[in-house]
Amino acid sequence: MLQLKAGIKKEWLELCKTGRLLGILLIILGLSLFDPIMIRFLALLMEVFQDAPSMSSLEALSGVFGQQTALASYAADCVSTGMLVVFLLLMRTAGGEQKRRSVVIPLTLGFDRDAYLYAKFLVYPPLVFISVLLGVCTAYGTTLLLFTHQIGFVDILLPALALGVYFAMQVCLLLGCGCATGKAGIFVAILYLLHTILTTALGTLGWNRYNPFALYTFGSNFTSAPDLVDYSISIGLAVVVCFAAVLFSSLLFRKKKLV
Amino acid sequence: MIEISGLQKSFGSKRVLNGLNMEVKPGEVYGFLGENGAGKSTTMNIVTGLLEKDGGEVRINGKDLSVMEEHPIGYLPESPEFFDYMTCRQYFAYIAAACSYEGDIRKRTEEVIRLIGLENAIDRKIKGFSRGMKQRIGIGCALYSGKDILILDEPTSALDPQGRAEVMQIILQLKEMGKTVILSTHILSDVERVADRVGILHNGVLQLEGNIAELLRANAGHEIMLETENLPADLIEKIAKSPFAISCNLTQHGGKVEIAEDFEEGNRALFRILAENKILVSSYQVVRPTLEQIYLKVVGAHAAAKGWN
Ligand SMILES: Nc1ncnc2c1ncn2[C@@H]1O[C@H](COP(=O)(O)OP(=O)(O)O)[C@@H](O)[C@H]1O
Ligand SMILES: [Mg+2]
Repeated sequence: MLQLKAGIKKEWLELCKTGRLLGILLIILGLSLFDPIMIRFLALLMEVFQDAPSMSSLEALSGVFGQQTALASYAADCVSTGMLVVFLLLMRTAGGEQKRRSVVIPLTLGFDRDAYLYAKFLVYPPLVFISVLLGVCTAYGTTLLLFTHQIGFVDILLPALALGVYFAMQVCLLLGCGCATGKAGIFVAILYLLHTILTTALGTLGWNRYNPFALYTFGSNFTSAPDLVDYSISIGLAVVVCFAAVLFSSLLFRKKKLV
Repeated sequence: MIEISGLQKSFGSKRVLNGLNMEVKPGEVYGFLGENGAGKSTTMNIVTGLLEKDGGEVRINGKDLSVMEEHPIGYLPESPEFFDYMTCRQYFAYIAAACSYEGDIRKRTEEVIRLIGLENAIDRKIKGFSRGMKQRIGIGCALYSGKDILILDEPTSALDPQGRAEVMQIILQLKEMGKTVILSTHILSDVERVADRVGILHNGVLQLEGNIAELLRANAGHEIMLETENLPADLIEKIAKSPFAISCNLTQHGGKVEIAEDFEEGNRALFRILAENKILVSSYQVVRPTLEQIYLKVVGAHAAAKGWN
């Protein structure tokens, strides 16, 4: 218990003193400002290039470049660009420490391997989850300033939750795979590619039901209310995946050779 | 205190340890010598439980290592790395948690930091530390929980002379505190300064083990440096042909004579000849052999033997 506390403190120190916390918040929150502004800018461009805007085309435009496009675009960037940046920032903690051998001394002196590992899971996924929720809220706030009001605040809560859980699950997988193998770099690539492929492939195949890896689809849908059963089961399964990652990496890490 | 017998370890088809026997006694500083790649780190990693052995036995305080629950050894691995974004104090707080230290952590941390001489850097980030300072932090970690046996893997190899002197000073302090220290290195002069006993690892086994003073007495010929007045050529020849002289490098005004096995007897014989011939010796000095000579003799002999096979 004492070691778990020390472990959490260590991860926080690492986050704060190496500027990683700032990096994570900057990318997740920065995108939430950048995306709505970008979409608004595109809409303006389109209006300028349309020489005699008729009433109907303006309406069509606000449909394409409206509030929900801006939010969906944030969701997409958050789990692509945002996720990649966060992954890169977490490489050191997810296995990089083993490669640099800075874990050798504490672990040989008797730091409990589970405590060392659990501290990471207790810090990073929740941090990312909360950052993403905040990010969606800021994005929503920004859209309110820039677009005509179409979506109520309540309507963004479920997508935000889905997006946060999805992101946190990916971080769990990175921590788990990285710590269990000591090779963070490879898993950053694998998980990122998998995310890119899965989001499109699952969509085309229609295997989105109950699939935690398709949670992103719920996370980017701000137009219609999700099927609550599908939604809850997907979220539940994502949480299961997180715990599986913890358990699995703990089993492997216990047997891991340090030299 | 630590007894190793018949220790075996291979990496793939490469046999690194081939029946290593070694004994470390309580309260001594043991110099563990061997060239790069001899298997020093491998041995230490096995003794500290970081590596599995292939065969043989390691007993610590009479107990088999493999059945021990709590490890009685503080270990400083080769080229240690730290969480370098932490300050010294923060890092030692983490180390205190690692060793489940039960006393007053603040007090202990300050005590350890005083011992390793880093009082002035206690609240500085480790990132900016010199290698010598990092080695000292590593030693601090190894001794934090107050374990009696410390294993230090090449604590001075990458350091400049000043850094080395500082680390050696700490090791002497540890010795005064009654700790048992195993010190691996290939820098022989360091070992000569602090160690009581040495073991030389070569080809997977200890080629030589023992008290440094005794090894020096037993293993290398002593030299005598002379300054004389008018040493005649026939006398030089006579000394050179005497059984006590391994080699003789004398001129009219003196020079060096290397004396064989029984130094005292040889010494006496040499001076008997000089006295009988009424040669005036104006200065006289016994040159002790160095550990380096012994080391080269042991390692070199094997290298030469290998060459013939
Ligand atoms: N994990 C490992 N895998 C394969 N070979 C290794 C491993 N560790 C050490 N070796 C080999 O074992 C030999 C002894 O290494 P080491 O114990 O580090 O030597 P020393 O510390 O005396 O310099 C070296 O030749 C090295 O290449
Ligand atoms: Mg070594």
